Amino acid sequence: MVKVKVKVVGSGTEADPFRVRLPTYSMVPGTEEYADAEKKIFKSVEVEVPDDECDKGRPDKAKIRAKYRGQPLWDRADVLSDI
Amino acid sequence: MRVGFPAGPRLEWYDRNPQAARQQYSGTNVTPHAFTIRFTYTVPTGKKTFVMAAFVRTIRVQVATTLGPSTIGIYLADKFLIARAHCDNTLYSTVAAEVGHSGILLAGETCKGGTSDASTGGQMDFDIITHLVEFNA
Repeated sequence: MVKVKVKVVGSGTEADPFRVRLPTYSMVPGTEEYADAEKKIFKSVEVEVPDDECDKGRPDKAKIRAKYRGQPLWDRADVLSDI
Repeated sequence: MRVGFPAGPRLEWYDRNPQAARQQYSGTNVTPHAFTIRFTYTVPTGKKTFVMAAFVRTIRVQVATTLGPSTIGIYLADKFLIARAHCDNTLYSTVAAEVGHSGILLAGETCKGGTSDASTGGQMDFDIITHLVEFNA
């Protein structure tokens, strides 16, 4: 597993939960940073990402596209453009 | 007459390049927060994934000023597999649930673990664990 700090998206509702735009990740507890600490709006968090989706310590677009080939959410040119 | 496959029978799923894909989130002293997906696992292309077991637990480790529901759950393909709400402000009150074999995920489907706590003040411990085995489809 590779640890990386990434952006958190979403609004915290059931329909749009706070989450990370990666196919497979696990948040590292206690690493959350807030855009608004009082309202508990997440800005970023450290996550663990599988080794076979990373290169040089970062999630790698080519590896993710290959691993999830044909899946509309991940096999696209702009994957990882906003993490 | 015997009918068979020229290259032999197809291997069982557990012999088709199986790999453990365990997912876990264990947060301690977590303060109130909105609904958050703590982990996501997506089945890679050309694979399927057996959900072998799932476990969730919450423990109130600091009482809240104003109690709100705290939730924890695991979702398969965006549908509830297991979920609990913790609505007890007693120190060290615990809510837990577990399930065993829960089916197969297809390529592109997901297993997610989520938490929330709508209280004001206080802290919770959250544990979400799934044991997954990925194999060639």
